Amino acid sequence: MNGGILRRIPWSLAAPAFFFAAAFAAPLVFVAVRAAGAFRNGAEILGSPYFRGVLAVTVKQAVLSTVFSVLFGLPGAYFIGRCRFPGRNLLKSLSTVPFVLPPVLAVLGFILVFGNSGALNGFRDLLTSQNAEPWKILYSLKAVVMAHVFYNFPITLRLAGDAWASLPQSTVRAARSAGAKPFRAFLTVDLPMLTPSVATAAVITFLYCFLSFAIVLVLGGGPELTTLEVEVYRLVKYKLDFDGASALAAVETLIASCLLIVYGLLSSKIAVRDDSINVRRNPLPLRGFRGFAAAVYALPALLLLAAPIAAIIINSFLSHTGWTGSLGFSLKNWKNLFGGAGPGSAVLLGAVFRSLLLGAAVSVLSVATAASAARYSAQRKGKAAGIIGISAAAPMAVSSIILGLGYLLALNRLPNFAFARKAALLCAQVAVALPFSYRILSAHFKSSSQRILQAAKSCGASSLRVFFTIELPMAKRALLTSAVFSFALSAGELNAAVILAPSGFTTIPVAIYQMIGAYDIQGACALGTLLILLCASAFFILDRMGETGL
Amino acid sequence: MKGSRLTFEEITFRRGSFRLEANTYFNEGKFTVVLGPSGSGKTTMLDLAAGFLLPSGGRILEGERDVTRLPPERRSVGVVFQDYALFPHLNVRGNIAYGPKARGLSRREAAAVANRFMEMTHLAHLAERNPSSLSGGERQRVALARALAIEPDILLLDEPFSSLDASLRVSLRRDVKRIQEETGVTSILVTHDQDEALSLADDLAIMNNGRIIQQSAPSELWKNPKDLFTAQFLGRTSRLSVKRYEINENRTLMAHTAAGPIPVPADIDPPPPPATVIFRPEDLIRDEKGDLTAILERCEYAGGSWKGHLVPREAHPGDVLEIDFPRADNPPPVKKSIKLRLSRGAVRILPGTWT
Repeated sequence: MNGGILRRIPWSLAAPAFFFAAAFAAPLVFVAVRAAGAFRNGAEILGSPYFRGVLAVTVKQAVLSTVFSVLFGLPGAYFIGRCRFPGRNLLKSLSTVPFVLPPVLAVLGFILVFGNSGALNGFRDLLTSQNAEPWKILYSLKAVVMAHVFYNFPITLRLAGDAWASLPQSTVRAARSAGAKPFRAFLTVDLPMLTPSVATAAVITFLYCFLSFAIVLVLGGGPELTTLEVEVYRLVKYKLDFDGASALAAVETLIASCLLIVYGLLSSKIAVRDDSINVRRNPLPLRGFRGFAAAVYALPALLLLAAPIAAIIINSFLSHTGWTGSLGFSLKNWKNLFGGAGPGSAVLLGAVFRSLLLGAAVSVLSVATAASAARYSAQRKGKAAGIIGISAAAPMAVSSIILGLGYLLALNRLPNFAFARKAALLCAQVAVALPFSYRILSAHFKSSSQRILQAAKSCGASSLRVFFTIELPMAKRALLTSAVFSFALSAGELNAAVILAPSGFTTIPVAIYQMIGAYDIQGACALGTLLILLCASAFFILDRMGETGL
Repeated sequence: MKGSRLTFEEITFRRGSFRLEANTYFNEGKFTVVLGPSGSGKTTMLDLAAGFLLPSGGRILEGERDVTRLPPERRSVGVVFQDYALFPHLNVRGNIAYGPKARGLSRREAAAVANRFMEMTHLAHLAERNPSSLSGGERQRVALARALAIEPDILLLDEPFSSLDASLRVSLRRDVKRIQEETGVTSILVTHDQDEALSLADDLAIMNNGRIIQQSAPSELWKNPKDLFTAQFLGRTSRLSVKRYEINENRTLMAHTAAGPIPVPADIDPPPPPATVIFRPEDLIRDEKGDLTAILERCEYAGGSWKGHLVPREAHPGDVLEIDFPRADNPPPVKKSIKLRLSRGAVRILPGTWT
């Protein structure tokens, strides 16, 4: 068309695009180059039994975790989607908890509940004779799968629950009056409408479990149970084998990218129904058999959701009375945290301070990047919008361990390495937060009509005035939601932090991880409670905002 | 508020395969309605007038002022959008005061202007309400008040009644007409609803395929459509394909059709076949001595009259006669032949055949 090449460059997109290239694409290029070099030098990594073993375990735990997450999520989806009962909204809100709860806290909670001397075994000792052989759940495939189910069944609960709730009244009536019995109508009419949502939940669960880090690292219990993600970390951290790490990282990212593409295709199939025409079904009361089934389901579900968190909070107020003494109530852990006498207290307070600062910075950068990209793509649509959408989702397929590896490869020749690592940590966390921020913001910008901006202009407002008096106030909710979400993600982010943070630069999750490693479980709980408070406030803000678009 | 004339001077606009060409003006202080099917370019024309789109050629004038390249905020154009496009984060008063404030009035002055227009549109009692809590009709009035509050020279209305139910539509239509007459603002309304068009328009423009086909007073368009598209688009129209012309024994030129011979009025210059005779239902009369014959295909009760739909024997494709039977008559039996005559001078003959 008219205008030179200069006019066709989207300048408003230049800053976010540049940031995205530097923070996300560049480290990946380093990993890819290193991996290509490793393959060319004849390293037979991919053919070795070692590699095949790691890949097999990775896939196996992800498959098991996905199957159980979906199976455990579906009944809940039915109750939340189709039934009415007191506490339904609360339950729906609670299902967002794992979205803001950092994995390191899930790990900590699982140790407290399912550990050899954890709450479950303690409870069993009370009921039966003392000194029975404890149930050994932790440090096994079982523990990893259980933690993954805890973490991921709410995805199915939410996606399938929403789909179930929005099934239209008319289709099932049409099926029934055409002569189908209730069960046949369910199989032939409802199930096909639910399938895209369930499949989407399954794929995203598989992706998360495939890339899972902290849960496998700690609860897996050692080198026998190791996944690609954990192995990349071990190779970098303990063996300094950058070639091998890059090769594994390349394979992992390739598989994850395929999963992400499948996820994108599936989630686009989830029908958005127009509620002005579509009449939803009347929710069913929870009585009789249905009520009994709900109770049977709710007990383990609530326990699974609440017990680990409750255990962390309770344990933060306990400590050992002597070297071998039993646990008793004490404020020691909290005193340690807030400038107690112990040598670690300054470190801990520093970690809190650093996490807050880092979270704020990540929040600002991720929202600014996502907002400008989402605004641009909502205005253009077409091919450019498609490319932006794919790019913004891409970090979901790349674990921050791999991103961290890329930064290490890129930065290790710089003179001020420590400073560069801090900057890299910031960038990696922004990349982690970006897909979520983008999804929230692009939902907002897509739904707001271009006509409103035109109306403001025809009222006589300049572009700047329209931006400040119309666009910004209208986007306030979406901006705040994505900012809070980014903050929560950063505050709980362990992966990039353990690989990138220079020594002495501990954040809250890193400190918790180190305290678990040093068997200072109760100390970790005090810090963990602080992190829970942080995430809980984020959760309440998000809940007040209503639909987050996640 | 004084309206000014809006002129489209050799305007062209292209997007993909769509092409709009307009060379016309909209009279100052008048209510012009642009009528056309969807996709004919009506909304594009409003977007050009408001400055949301820029033409690829030609000039747009507000009065004597060339506004072709001016951004929307520097024009004097108020717009009422089809979906209203109210600012969701501002209440009714905030929405209406937005324009005056943006144009440099103080908060107090803007509120005074807003109050004046809320009175005019009967919105005063809703001043503090949020748009999301308003009914469709109320939103529509807020949108109108907001557009008028900048005291524009030109008011554009993009299918403003399309999402309202039938009874509300008629009453709001009256309100809009009253306010337009009170303020004297040059108004352009686009619609595909011909009742709306005929009842509101001082001036009616028929649009199709990106062009204004005919523009004049509604009664003139009704009586004297320039082509078959206009005739078809405005009201029920009888149309009969001309087989041949013949001068009869009384030295009158007759157009022969499948229904029978029709005298050609002396004031028209009949086009050679293929041509089509058209006339309105009110000019067709049932008469046992009439020259025209057709079979009544169906009859619909219209409350107070019957709408008859006739097709001649051996009809040319598209040949149809539309008639109104007055209430007194029982509807004649369908599938039977009926004799008819035309009131004098009521027909027009247009080139082409009906599609």
